[in-house]
Amino acid sequence: MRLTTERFILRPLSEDDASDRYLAWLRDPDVNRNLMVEGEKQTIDDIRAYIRAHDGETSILFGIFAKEDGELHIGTHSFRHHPRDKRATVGVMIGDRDYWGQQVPLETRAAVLDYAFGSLGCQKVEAGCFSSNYPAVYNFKKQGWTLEGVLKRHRLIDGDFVDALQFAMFRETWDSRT
Amino acid sequence: MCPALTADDVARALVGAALGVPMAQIGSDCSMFTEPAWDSLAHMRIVLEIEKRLNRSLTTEEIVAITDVKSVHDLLCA
Repeated sequence: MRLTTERFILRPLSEDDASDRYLAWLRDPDVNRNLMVEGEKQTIDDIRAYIRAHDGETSILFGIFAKEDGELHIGTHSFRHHPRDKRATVGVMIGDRDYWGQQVPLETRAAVLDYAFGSLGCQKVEAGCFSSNYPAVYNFKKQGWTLEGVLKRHRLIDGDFVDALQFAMFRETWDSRT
Repeated sequence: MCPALTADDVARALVGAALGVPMAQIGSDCSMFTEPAWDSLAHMRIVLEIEKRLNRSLTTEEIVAITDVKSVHDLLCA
Protein backbone atom coordinates (compact mmCIF):
# COMPACT_ATOMS: atom_id res chain seq x y z
CA MET A 1 0.00 0.00 0.00
CA ARG A 2 1.58 3.22 -1.15
CA LEU A 3 -0.19 6.48 -2.00
CA THR A 4 1.54 9.22 -3.93
CA THR A 5 0.76 12.92 -4.32
CA GLU A 6 2.65 15.70 -6.07
CA ARG A 7 4.91 16.39 -3.10
CA PHE A 8 4.48 13.42 -0.77
CA ILE A 9 4.53 9.66 -0.42
CA LEU A 10 2.25 7.88 2.04
CA ARG A 11 3.17 4.38 3.12
CA PRO A 12 2.31 2.29 6.17
CA LEU A 13 4.74 2.83 9.02
CA SER A 14 6.81 -0.04 10.36
CA GLU A 15 8.36 -0.26 13.79
CA ASP A 16 11.62 0.95 12.25
CA ASP A 17 9.92 4.32 11.70
CA ALA A 18 9.54 4.83 15.48
CA SER A 19 12.29 7.43 15.65
CA ASP A 20 13.43 10.08 18.12
CA ARG A 21 12.13 12.55 15.60
CA TYR A 22 8.63 11.04 15.80
CA LEU A 23 8.86 11.00 19.59
CA ALA A 24 9.82 14.68 19.65
CA TRP A 25 6.62 15.54 17.77
CA LEU A 26 4.50 13.75 20.33
CA ARG A 27 6.28 15.58 23.13
CA ASP A 28 5.89 18.98 21.42
CA PRO A 29 3.07 20.81 23.25
CA ASP A 30 2.06 22.60 20.07
CA VAL A 31 1.48 19.19 18.46
CA ASN A 32 0.14 17.06 21.26
CA ARG A 33 -2.43 19.57 22.50
CA ASN A 34 -4.43 18.64 19.42
CA LEU A 35 -4.06 14.88 19.90
CA MET A 36 -5.91 12.45 22.15
CA VAL A 37 -2.70 11.28 23.80
CA GLU A 38 -0.66 12.39 26.78
CA GLY A 39 2.26 13.26 24.56
CA GLU A 40 4.76 14.14 27.25
CA LYS A 41 4.59 10.59 28.61
CA GLN A 42 5.13 8.83 25.29
CA THR A 43 8.17 6.63 24.66
CA ILE A 44 9.65 4.98 21.61
CA ASP A 45 8.11 1.71 22.79
CA ASP A 46 4.70 3.39 22.93
CA ILE A 47 5.12 4.47 19.32
CA ARG A 48 6.15 0.96 18.30
CA ALA A 49 3.08 -0.44 20.07
CA TYR A 50 0.86 2.12 18.36
CA ILE A 51 2.29 1.14 14.97
CA ARG A 52 1.81 -2.58 15.77
CA ALA A 53 -1.81 -1.89 16.71
CA HIS A 54 -2.54 -1.19 13.03
CA ASP A 55 -3.09 -4.41 11.09
CA GLY A 56 -2.35 -2.90 7.68
CA GLU A 57 -5.77 -3.85 6.34
CA THR A 58 -8.68 -2.36 8.25
CA SER A 59 -6.35 -0.05 10.15
CA ILE A 60 -3.36 1.62 8.56
CA LEU A 61 -0.96 4.14 10.00
CA PHE A 62 0.40 5.98 7.00
CA GLY A 63 3.61 7.93 7.32
CA ILE A 64 3.82 11.11 5.30
CA PHE A 65 7.18 11.44 3.56
CA ALA A 66 8.33 14.56 1.69
CA LYS A 67 9.70 13.74 -1.76
CA GLU A 68 11.77 16.92 -2.09
CA ASP A 69 13.41 16.35 1.27
CA GLY A 70 14.83 12.88 0.67
CA GLU A 71 11.57 11.24 1.70
CA LEU A 72 11.79 12.83 5.12
CA HIS A 73 9.12 11.62 7.53
CA ILE A 74 7.02 14.66 8.47
CA GLY A 75 3.76 13.28 9.86
CA THR A 76 1.09 10.59 9.87
CA HIS A 77 -2.40 9.76 8.69
CA SER A 78 -4.27 7.22 10.76
CA PHE A 79 -6.85 5.31 8.76
CA ARG A 80 -9.51 2.90 9.97
CA HIS A 81 -11.85 1.13 7.59
CA HIS A 82 -15.27 -0.05 8.75
CA PRO A 83 -16.22 -2.36 5.85
CA ARG A 84 -19.66 -3.25 7.18
CA ASP A 85 -20.71 0.39 7.03
CA LYS A 86 -18.60 1.38 4.00
CA ARG A 87 -17.08 4.06 6.19
CA ALA A 88 -13.59 5.12 7.21
CA THR A 89 -12.16 7.22 10.01
CA VAL A 90 -9.06 9.32 9.43
CA GLY A 91 -6.78 11.55 11.47
CA VAL A 92 -3.74 13.58 10.48
CA MET A 93 -0.72 14.85 12.38
CA ILE A 94 1.92 17.05 10.80
CA GLY A 95 4.77 16.86 13.27
CA ASP A 96 7.46 18.74 11.37
CA ARG A 97 6.90 22.44 11.95
CA ASP A 98 8.67 23.31 8.71
CA TYR A 99 5.68 21.86 6.90
CA TRP A 100 2.98 23.73 8.80
CA GLY A 101 1.04 26.12 6.57
CA GLN A 102 2.14 24.16 3.49
CA GLN A 103 -1.29 22.63 2.77
CA VAL A 104 0.07 19.16 3.61
CA PRO A 105 -3.17 17.85 5.17
CA LEU A 106 -5.16 19.00 2.14
CA GLU A 107 -2.85 17.38 -0.41
CA THR A 108 -2.23 14.13 1.43
CA ARG A 109 -5.75 13.66 2.76
CA ALA A 110 -7.01 13.95 -0.81
CA ALA A 111 -5.01 10.82 -1.61
CA VAL A 112 -6.43 9.07 1.43
CA LEU A 113 -9.96 10.07 0.40
CA ASP A 114 -9.37 8.80 -3.13
CA TYR A 115 -8.24 5.50 -1.61
CA ALA A 116 -11.27 5.29 0.67
CA PHE A 117 -13.89 6.20 -1.91
CA GLY A 118 -12.13 4.59 -4.87
CA SER A 119 -10.30 1.45 -3.84
CA LEU A 120 -12.42 0.62 -0.81
CA GLY A 121 -15.82 1.84 -2.01
CA CYS A 122 -16.56 3.83 1.12
CA GLN A 123 -19.62 6.07 1.16
CA LYS A 124 -18.45 8.22 4.05
CA VAL A 125 -15.21 9.27 5.70
CA GLU A 126 -15.22 10.87 9.12
CA ALA A 127 -12.65 12.89 11.04
CA GLY A 128 -12.50 15.38 13.85
CA CYS A 129 -10.58 18.13 15.56
CA PHE A 130 -10.88 20.42 18.54
CA SER A 131 -12.46 23.84 18.16
CA SER A 132 -9.22 25.48 19.28
CA ASN A 133 -7.29 23.92 16.41
CA TYR A 134 -7.97 26.70 13.93
CA PRO A 135 -5.67 25.36 11.18
CA ALA A 136 -7.47 22.00 11.28
CA VAL A 137 -10.87 23.70 11.08
CA TYR A 138 -9.54 25.61 8.08
CA ASN A 139 -8.45 22.38 6.39
CA PHE A 140 -11.85 20.76 6.84
CA LYS A 141 -13.72 23.82 5.56
CA LYS A 142 -11.34 24.34 2.66
CA GLN A 143 -11.67 20.73 1.56
CA GLY A 144 -15.45 20.77 1.69
CA TRP A 145 -16.12 18.60 4.74
CA THR A 146 -19.49 18.82 6.47
CA LEU A 147 -19.65 19.62 10.17
CA GLU A 148 -21.85 16.86 11.55
CA GLY A 149 -21.71 17.45 15.25
CA VAL A 150 -20.19 19.28 18.16
CA LEU A 151 -19.33 17.69 21.48
CA LYS A 152 -19.39 20.57 23.90
CA ARG A 153 -16.55 21.18 26.38
CA HIS A 154 -15.01 17.85 25.49
CA ARG A 155 -11.30 18.38 26.11
CA LEU A 156 -9.31 20.47 28.54
CA ILE A 157 -6.59 22.31 26.63
CA ASP A 158 -4.39 24.97 28.20
CA GLY A 159 -6.90 25.52 30.98
CA ASP A 160 -9.94 25.87 28.76
CA PHE A 161 -12.59 23.30 27.91
CA VAL A 162 -12.89 23.19 24.14
CA ASP A 163 -15.42 21.53 21.86
CA ALA A 164 -14.73 18.45 19.74
CA LEU A 165 -15.90 18.83 16.16
CA GLN A 166 -16.99 15.88 14.05
CA PHE A 167 -16.68 16.30 10.29
CA ALA A 168 -17.73 14.05 7.42
CA MET A 169 -16.90 13.77 3.75
CA PHE A 170 -19.49 11.94 1.71
CA ARG A 171 -18.79 10.13 -1.54
CA GLU A 172 -21.05 12.35 -3.64
CA THR A 173 -19.41 15.50 -2.28
CA TRP A 174 -15.93 14.17 -3.02
CA ASP A 175 -16.93 12.96 -6.47
CA SER A 176 -18.52 16.30 -7.37
CA ARG A 177 -15.54 18.50 -6.48
CA THR A 178 -14.16 20.61 -9.30
CA MET B 1 -12.80 52.74 14.35
CA CYS B 2 -11.51 55.43 12.04
CA PRO B 3 -14.53 57.18 10.53
CA ALA B 4 -12.81 57.19 7.15
CA LEU B 5 -12.91 53.41 7.06
CA THR B 6 -16.01 51.37 6.47
CA ALA B 7 -16.58 48.09 8.30
CA ASP B 8 -15.78 46.33 5.05
CA ASP B 9 -12.46 48.17 4.88
CA VAL B 10 -11.63 47.07 8.42
CA ALA B 11 -12.41 43.43 7.60
CA ARG B 12 -10.36 43.59 4.40
CA ALA B 13 -7.46 45.20 6.26
CA LEU B 14 -7.55 42.53 8.94
CA VAL B 15 -7.56 39.74 6.38
CA GLY B 16 -4.88 41.43 4.30
CA ALA B 17 -2.59 41.85 7.30
CA ALA B 18 -3.02 38.20 8.27
CA LEU B 19 -2.33 37.06 4.72
CA GLY B 20 0.56 39.45 4.14
CA VAL B 21 -1.29 40.88 1.17
CA PRO B 22 -1.94 44.62 0.64
CA MET B 23 -5.49 45.59 1.56
CA ALA B 24 -5.99 46.98 -1.92
CA GLN B 25 -5.66 43.46 -3.27
CA ILE B 26 -8.25 42.05 -0.87
CA GLY B 27 -11.72 42.33 -2.36
CA SER B 28 -14.96 42.16 -0.44
CA ASP B 29 -15.51 38.75 -2.00
CA CYS B 30 -12.12 37.37 -0.94
CA SER B 31 -12.35 33.93 0.65
CA MET B 32 -10.26 30.94 1.69
CA PHE B 33 -11.48 29.28 -1.49
CA THR B 34 -10.23 31.99 -3.84
CA GLU B 35 -7.18 33.58 -2.22
CA PRO B 36 -4.01 31.44 -2.45
CA ALA B 37 -2.36 33.25 0.47
CA TRP B 38 -5.24 32.27 2.78
CA ASP B 39 -3.57 29.13 4.16
CA SER B 40 -4.06 27.42 7.52
CA LEU B 41 -1.58 29.60 9.40
CA ALA B 42 -3.01 32.78 7.90
CA HIS B 43 -6.43 31.52 8.92
CA MET B 44 -5.20 31.07 12.49
CA ARG B 45 -3.91 34.65 12.48
CA ILE B 46 -7.30 35.88 11.27
CA VAL B 47 -9.19 34.08 14.05
CA LEU B 48 -6.74 35.23 16.74
CA GLU B 49 -6.92 38.83 15.53
CA ILE B 50 -10.72 38.79 15.60
CA GLU B 51 -10.63 37.41 19.15
CA LYS B 52 -8.17 40.11 20.12
CA ARG B 53 -10.37 42.88 18.72
CA LEU B 54 -13.53 41.48 20.27
CA ASN B 55 -11.65 40.79 23.51
CA ARG B 56 -13.22 37.36 23.86
CA SER B 57 -12.91 33.81 22.61
CA LEU B 58 -15.05 32.96 19.62
CA THR B 59 -17.70 30.29 19.90
CA THR B 60 -17.41 27.13 17.83
CA GLU B 61 -20.24 28.33 15.62
CA GLU B 62 -18.36 31.58 14.97
CA ILE B 63 -15.07 29.78 14.34
CA VAL B 64 -16.48 27.45 11.71
CA ALA B 65 -18.32 30.33 10.02
CA ILE B 66 -15.09 32.14 9.12
CA THR B 67 -14.42 31.45 5.46
CA ASP B 68 -14.30 34.86 3.80
CA VAL B 69 -14.10 38.63 4.26
CA LYS B 70 -17.86 38.87 4.67
CA SER B 71 -17.85 36.48 7.62
CA VAL B 72 -15.03 38.48 9.21
CA HIS B 73 -17.03 41.65 8.63
CA ASP B 74 -20.13 40.13 10.19
CA LEU B 75 -18.22 39.07 13.30
CA LEU B 76 -16.59 42.46 13.77
CA CYS B 77 -19.92 44.22 13.39
CA ALA B 78 -22.00 41.86 15.50
